[in-house]
Amino acid sequence: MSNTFKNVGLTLLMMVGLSVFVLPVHALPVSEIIEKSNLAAVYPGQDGRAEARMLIVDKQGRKQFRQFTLLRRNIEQGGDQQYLVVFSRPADVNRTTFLVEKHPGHDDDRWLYLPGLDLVKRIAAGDKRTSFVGSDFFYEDISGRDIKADSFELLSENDTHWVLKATPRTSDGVEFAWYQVTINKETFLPMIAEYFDAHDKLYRRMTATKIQEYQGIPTITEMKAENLADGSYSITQMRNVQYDLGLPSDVFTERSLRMPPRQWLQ
Amino acid sequence: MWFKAFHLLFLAVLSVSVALPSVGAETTDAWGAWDDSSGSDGGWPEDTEQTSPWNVLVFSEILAGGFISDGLFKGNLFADNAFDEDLSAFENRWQVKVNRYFGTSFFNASVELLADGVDDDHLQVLVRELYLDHSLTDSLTVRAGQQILTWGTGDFVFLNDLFAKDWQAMFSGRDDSYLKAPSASIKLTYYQDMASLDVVCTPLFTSDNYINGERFGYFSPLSGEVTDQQFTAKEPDTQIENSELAFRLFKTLNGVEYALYGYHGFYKQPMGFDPVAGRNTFPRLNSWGASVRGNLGAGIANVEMAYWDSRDDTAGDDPLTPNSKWQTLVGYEQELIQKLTLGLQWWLQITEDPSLQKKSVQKTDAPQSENLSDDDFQDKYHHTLTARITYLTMSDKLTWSLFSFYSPSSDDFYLKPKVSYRRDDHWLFEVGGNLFGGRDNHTQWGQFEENSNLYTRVRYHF
Repeated sequence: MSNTFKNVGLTLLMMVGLSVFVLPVHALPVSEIIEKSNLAAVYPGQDGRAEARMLIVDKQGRKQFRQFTLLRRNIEQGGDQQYLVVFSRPADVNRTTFLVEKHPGHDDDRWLYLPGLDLVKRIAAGDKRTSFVGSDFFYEDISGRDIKADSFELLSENDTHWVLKATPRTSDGVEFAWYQVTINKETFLPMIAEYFDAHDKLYRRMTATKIQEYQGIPTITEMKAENLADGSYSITQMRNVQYDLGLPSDVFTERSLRMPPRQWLQ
Repeated sequence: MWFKAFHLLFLAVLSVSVALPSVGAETTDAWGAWDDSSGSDGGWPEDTEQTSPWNVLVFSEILAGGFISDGLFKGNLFADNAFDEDLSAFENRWQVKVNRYFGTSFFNASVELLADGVDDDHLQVLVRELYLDHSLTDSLTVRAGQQILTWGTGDFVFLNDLFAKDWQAMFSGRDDSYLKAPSASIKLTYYQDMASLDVVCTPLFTSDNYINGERFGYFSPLSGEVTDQQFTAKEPDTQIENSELAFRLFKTLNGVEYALYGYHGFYKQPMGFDPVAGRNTFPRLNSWGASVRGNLGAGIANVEMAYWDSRDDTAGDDPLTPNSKWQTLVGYEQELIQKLTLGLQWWLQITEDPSLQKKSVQKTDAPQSENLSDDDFQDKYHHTLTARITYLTMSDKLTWSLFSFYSPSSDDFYLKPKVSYRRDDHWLFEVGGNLFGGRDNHTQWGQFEENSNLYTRVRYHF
């Protein structure tokens, strides 16, 4: 399980902000859209807490399930962040815990705690466009692509949404040729991202299927990742979201890996 | 052979018969409620709600394995090994884990019922965990009770981690977590910005579950051959000055983890011999060490050192007690291509004054002393290389992995291949092997050649 679940750490950590589609800066209007979208999706509040669960449905229709609590703390708006994820389900990962120090622009520091071994494991920075625990979410979908990795253009807009097209500056480690993202003009939240291959064929879609306000902050509380090639999909839901709890930085240390901080998780 | 075939058939039938009801059960799982969830914080399936403060987790597992040392080379896959044994493992384990919070204190217990066809005790009740976490102050916590303890940076290589291991579990194909044996300990942790400190006291010396002839054979220096003759080493007396004490001072700075370690106690394996009692013993050991771990390039690098100070043989001339040694471990792990991770380690052990041991033996009139060759003494420099290859396929449900130890110094190896299939959140299937070999029959891994085995393991989480 450890091998499987270390990838959860690579991935789910970033979900408090639901930074599904992080967009780099290009032309001025586009750059403002991207910047605000990034902040709205990834950095709401100074910190945050959410209960989350995930449903993973494979191409045969078989279901798996994950349940966890997330804590996030911004060190700098748009910059470094800290994440702690504590799993409660399924049984074989109960109290498995992840800690991430996210550093946009260079490698994150990641740790995984395996309670069966009392082992704090360091996780290597791996391929970011790879599924985790068999879900259809990619690490990079959630933690955010390098802000400078793609170039952007405005494809269209209407009263409620902008549609941007993103083209990777380099094809290294990228399976898509381009993608387009639909951003809500009121909330700046990314609502749909669709990924196309070299033949301009749509093969993958991410959708924010539910938005709720917590403390006045619009929050994606349900999102879906679909693999259109084989019909598999995954859904993540959030609840009991809280912002600005005043999480101290020492919550994000080895102490919390070994002994999850009950007072902040409840 | 019929007996073995029966076991395998029995297992297969058992696995299928247990699996069948769950196939039907899947259609009525609670996840239908996903699409119905609506409104704020409502509509989550009942089984995800914590209705009781008690968290109860249960699994059952069957492990069966057979020796192949003979058969592998003679055409029969499973065949009795040199000790006339055929089964390396045949067991059914039930674990019940319960935990809950009392305020901010956390109670955790894992109790197991083990029906074991190989062990001398066919039915065992094992307390794997029984501890309480409590915060004494904001910066001082305690974990007291039966617990699993791990620290250090090595992968299956332990320099500064002198907590109890279970090598019998490792060799028989139990889940990796069983390599760590529990001990009744008190662990205090003092958290400070400058650095944090762990202090672990184990009042009753807890040895490794070492290879003693019960399940697996070993090389006996007395007889000069590999044997499965069972022995029980003489444990240190139960007295307060024989408790084990371990500490770790640790700090993470800019993503790099630094740690200093210390240990005061005994060798965890019966490395000594008491000629008067005619029994193996656990000589006194102090250990000091340090480690650093951090990102390097696209991977993780670690360096760890330890000095094992053999307190019962400080002069290094007692052939019945291991000499002090320096140990260095250098490791690197990286994902090479998507889902394929490679971890490499180089482990060097430098034994102090191995020549003194030899001299002192040759000075005696011991009957075998003239027949002793250099091979019968520890190398001054002993190198071991390890490699771990892990490949995840089928949406991470199918894991292929190989862990290998190889020592160029003694030309011996231990290979641990396995394939695990996590069918869903309930079922885990695994097949694997523990393959030993080497030039000589007295080296660390070479002595275990007859223990080579293949196993299969099925676990169901309720």
